[in-house]
Amino acid sequence: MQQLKDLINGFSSPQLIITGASIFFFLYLYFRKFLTEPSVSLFFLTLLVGFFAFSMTDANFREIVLKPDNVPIVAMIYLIAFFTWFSLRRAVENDEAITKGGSTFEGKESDQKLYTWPNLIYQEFICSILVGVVLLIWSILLKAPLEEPADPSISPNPSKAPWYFLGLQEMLVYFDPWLAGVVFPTLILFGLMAIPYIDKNPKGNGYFTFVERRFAITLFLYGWLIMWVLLIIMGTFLRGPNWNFFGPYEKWSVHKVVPLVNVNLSEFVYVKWLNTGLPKHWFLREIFGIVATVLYFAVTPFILAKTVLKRMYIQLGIFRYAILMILLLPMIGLLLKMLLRWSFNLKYIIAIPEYFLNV
Amino acid sequence: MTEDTHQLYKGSTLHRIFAIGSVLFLLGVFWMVWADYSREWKRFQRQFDALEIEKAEKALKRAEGKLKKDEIDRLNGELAGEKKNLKAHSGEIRSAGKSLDEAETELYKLQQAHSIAKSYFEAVRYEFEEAVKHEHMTPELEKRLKATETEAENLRLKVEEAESRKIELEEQLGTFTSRREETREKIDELTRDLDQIRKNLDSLKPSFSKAILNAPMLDFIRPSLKIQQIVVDDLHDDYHFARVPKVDRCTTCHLAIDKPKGYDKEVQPFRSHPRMDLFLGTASAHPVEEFGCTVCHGGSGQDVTFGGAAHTPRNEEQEKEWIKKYGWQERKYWAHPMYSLDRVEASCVACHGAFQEIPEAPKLNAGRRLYRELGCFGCHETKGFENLRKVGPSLMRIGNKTDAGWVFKWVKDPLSFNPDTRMPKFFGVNEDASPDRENVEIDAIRTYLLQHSEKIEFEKPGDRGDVDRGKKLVNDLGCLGCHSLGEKQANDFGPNLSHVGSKVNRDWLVDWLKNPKRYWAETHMPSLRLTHEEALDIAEYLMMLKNPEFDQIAEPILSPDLLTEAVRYELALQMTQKQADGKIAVMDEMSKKLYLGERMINRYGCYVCHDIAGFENAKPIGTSLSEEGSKPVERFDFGLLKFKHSREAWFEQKLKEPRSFDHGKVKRLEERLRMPKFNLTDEEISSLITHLSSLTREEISLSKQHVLDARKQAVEKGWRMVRKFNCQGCHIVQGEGGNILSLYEDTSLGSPNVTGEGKKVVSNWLFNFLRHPATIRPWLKIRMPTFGFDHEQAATLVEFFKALDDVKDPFIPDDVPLYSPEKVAAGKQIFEALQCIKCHRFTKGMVIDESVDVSTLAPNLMMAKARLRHDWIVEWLKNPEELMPGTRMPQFWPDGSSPAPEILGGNAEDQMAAVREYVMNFQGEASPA
Repeated sequence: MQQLKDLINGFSSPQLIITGASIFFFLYLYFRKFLTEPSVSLFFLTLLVGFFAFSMTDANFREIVLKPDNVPIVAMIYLIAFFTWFSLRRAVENDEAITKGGSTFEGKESDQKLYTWPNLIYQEFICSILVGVVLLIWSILLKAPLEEPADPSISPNPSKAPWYFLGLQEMLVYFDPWLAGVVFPTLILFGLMAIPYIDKNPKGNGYFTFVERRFAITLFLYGWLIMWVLLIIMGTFLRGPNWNFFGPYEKWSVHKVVPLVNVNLSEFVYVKWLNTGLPKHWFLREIFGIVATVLYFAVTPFILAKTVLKRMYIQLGIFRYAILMILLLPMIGLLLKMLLRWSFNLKYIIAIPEYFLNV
Repeated sequence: MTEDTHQLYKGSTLHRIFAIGSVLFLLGVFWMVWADYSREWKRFQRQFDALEIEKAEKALKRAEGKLKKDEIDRLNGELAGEKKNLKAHSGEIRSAGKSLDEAETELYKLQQAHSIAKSYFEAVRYEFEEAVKHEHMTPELEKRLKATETEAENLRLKVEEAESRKIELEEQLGTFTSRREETREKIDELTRDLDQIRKNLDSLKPSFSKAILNAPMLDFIRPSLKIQQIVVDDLHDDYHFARVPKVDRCTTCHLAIDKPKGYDKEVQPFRSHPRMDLFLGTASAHPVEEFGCTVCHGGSGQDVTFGGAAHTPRNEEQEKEWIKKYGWQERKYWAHPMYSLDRVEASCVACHGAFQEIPEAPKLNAGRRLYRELGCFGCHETKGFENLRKVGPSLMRIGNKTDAGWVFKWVKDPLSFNPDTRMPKFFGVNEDASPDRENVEIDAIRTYLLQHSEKIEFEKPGDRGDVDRGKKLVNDLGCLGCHSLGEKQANDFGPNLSHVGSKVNRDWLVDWLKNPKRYWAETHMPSLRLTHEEALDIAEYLMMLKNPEFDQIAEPILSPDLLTEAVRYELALQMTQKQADGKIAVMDEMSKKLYLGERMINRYGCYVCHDIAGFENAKPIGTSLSEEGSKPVERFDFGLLKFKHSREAWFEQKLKEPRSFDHGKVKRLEERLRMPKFNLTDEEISSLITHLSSLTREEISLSKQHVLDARKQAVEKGWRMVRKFNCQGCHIVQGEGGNILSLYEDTSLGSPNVTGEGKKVVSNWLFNFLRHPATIRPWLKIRMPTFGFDHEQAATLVEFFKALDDVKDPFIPDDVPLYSPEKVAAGKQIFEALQCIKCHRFTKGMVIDESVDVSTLAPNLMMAKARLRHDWIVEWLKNPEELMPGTRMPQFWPDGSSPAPEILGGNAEDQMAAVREYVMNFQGEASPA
């Protein structure tokens, strides 16, 4: 038992979890037909419940999962899993129906007309009662998680953002606050607002489908599930004191020390490869990073437009395509930076502490 | 309707879900109401109601038992007789009653009319005054004012008349019924207690209306079970961004806490406070309305759950009991959990910090004393412990006092020489420290100290003293008022002398005994004004007291390589390895030792307790403990040790095994913990923990702090001196101390009791005596030492004694008492009649020869004039035993009766005054026994 826990703890690291989850994500989408089968899904559910049931025997796991703050996040795991499965299952069924020339489930459904009163109101009423029951019992069983009066001389360790911002806080591991805390959230907000204007494709309106919207759905789900929800889950359960990463069965020790081995790109180039010292002037020192970044943002869109996204470029037109790139490149850049950090311990691509500018 | 195409639209399924949901919702609501109804404190209040009913019923039974039934029966009989009597006069009574009724009606009418007339008058007066202000007075208005005023006044007179008529009639009626009323009152008197208890019981007993008011769901209206709270405006809870007046809800459950009696043996939470004289009571120093509870006890006053209030169990046993009984859990997130009962004194300091020793807080005082005596404040800066002398002796001249071998063995293990030394153990404390390396360090420290020791020249004593005489002197002179020696352990203020011969140099000792301040100016050791011979004798005796076991311990042989290695290590901390090697190459062995010694003295902080040359301005080495009692638990380093993570548990471990937190840790030498191991008993540790817990950052508003007035300040300053110089090692001060007296069979041969000294002696005399003691009781062998007080110190002590006895006029003019030859003559007569001279040798330069039984002697009265306050003498003659318990002075004038009725008409007061005048005016006439 302990060996299994040690094994899981050993495999717990942001790179393995995010990489593993990404692989699983793409496999799941690819083999969606089989994997969304109710029986297979039941198997996954059993696996998830089994994991929790097994883990609850561990004191450290229990302590973290049962914190009144964290209980809703556990519920969120089940809810998001369910709705993702549900939509994909429907999409698979609809896609099949469409290829056979039939109509979608939602299409059939919308043929049937019912009165709002009493049918809808009745159901809504029932829902409100059930939600009421859950809230009532929850509030009796779990007291409000109040802590000590805030003390300016003592900051809690770990200091965690509210759960819905934990994704951003995770990004802080890889980026400076001005990027992870200002630029990325702004891009996310405006990006989400911009979606309806970039994507005018009417397919998939009012019914579930995957085949008709492969790119859009994959992109959105990846951003949502991996780059947001997963980061929240990790931030809640696996980030402990000093924002160190802990396995699910590991004791959250304040004294845990992790070696700091990250190195800037400039040091890679000048010290490791060219074997000379760092140039004195920041511009010369960071020239490679600056060039790489400029190339990434300036050249990639053209290459993509000529190759992989040729059709999309034509469909969207240059203006929409440009906006899409402005949104898409940082998103992919985030992943790339994570990958570079994990594989090469790269700290910053551009590091100009003289102007507080690090990328 | 196409109900059947989809499952969820099926009416029947929806109905079922609706039904189940509703039932669940209803159950949830019931659960919620129940959860509120069965809250912990409500349960306690119900239990308390039951307890009170039980007590009231018992009290009722007791009261019924005590009731004087016969008396009541008799009175009832009388009452019946009186009733009959009244019946006979019923006609008169009725008519009197009728006229009274009429008078009352009349009075009522008049009162009404008067108040209406008066209000008219007041309204007109307003108009009138307004008219004056705006200058449009009319004669008509003036007339109206007059008219209304007269009417109101007339009516007032009529009311007065009617009132007196009414009283008259009442009295008339009273003449008939007064006896009946009196009897009734008597009966009431007898049954009053009982009625009171009955009433009380009725109000306690469950009733329908109470049941309704306390019923679930209805208990928000006006329940009898409700949260009790005490709000204290000028005490605060600190929430960091806001200071909030204290709200203590402890009395919600501790319902009997302020009941004066009958609840002292109940189980908690219904026990009354054990010290009502000191706390809670309105007459006590800490009334509960003004102080609340948590300011002393700690904990969270606003919480009304057992765990939420942050109760702290006294020990594991209690913890287990609480878990079982109350589901107790340690409350996280509350910086100041309640003090367990044996720590509660810690909170006294917040208000009473002005006192060095706080009354009624023995444990805290013990902890504070230890903290002072062990010199903890040396390493650890602590508020309230600033500017104190270093606790260890000066080592600036150590080379003159002892030898190198002793220093080595002492530093290595002080306990092996003297088991009750205050010097802690620095070496052999770390489990994984290398003994060889430690020996090298000790050697280096020793070498540093001796090399830097300043040499002093001794007068060569030459001849030797006599051991027996020396032993007698040590026992007689009062050395044991500070030192322990062998089995004589009345005091441990100075070092234990049992083995001093193994430690010191004989020449040094003679010099030291004669004048301690020559060797070390700041020493507390006083001069006993020893002659050269006396010092020689004492030294001879003390040098005999050896510790053979210690003397036999051999110094280890140290390898020079180890020294070089240690020096290399230390140097490398300050410079590069290469520079270090270069430096070592040119160092000889002595300079290596000196270098290492300096480094080690620095590391271990030897200089915080001892004056050491070269470390005059070195800084303390420990963390500041000024707010240690408020330090959050997570800031303590528990290392890899597994025990309960609490502040107190950490203190305990730290004091028991100061370096154990390094256990299992991989640390470099200079990173290791350095606190030495003190030789402490569990009790001492516990009192130190209480003291440490008291070092909080709590700020109490000035209105609640114990601010000392001038008199108390004088007393407090004096007490500090008394403790600093260990006066109580010999003297009983305010009924306490006099430790040395335990060594005397006849305590009258020991040091005198100085309780009441302020009332007794003249300020000026005391001031001079303290600076230059002179013999008062020549037959006593114990000597008042010369402490070398400066003017300020001596004055502090004088003020102390005066303030202790609340002497309002410390200065006595020279011309009192006035000389009156007749009185002096009478005084002399009495003096001779009472044979005072038998004990009081009334001579100048008196010599006591061997044949006299010294225990019969009393102070020389030649000193009386200069020494005694004249008002004290009469008080003393009146009742010596009261002023000085255990004195041999007989009471000659018991209860104002006179021993010599023929003198001065036998008036005791006059006789005592005469004796006083005789003694005070004595001119030197010798009258030996």
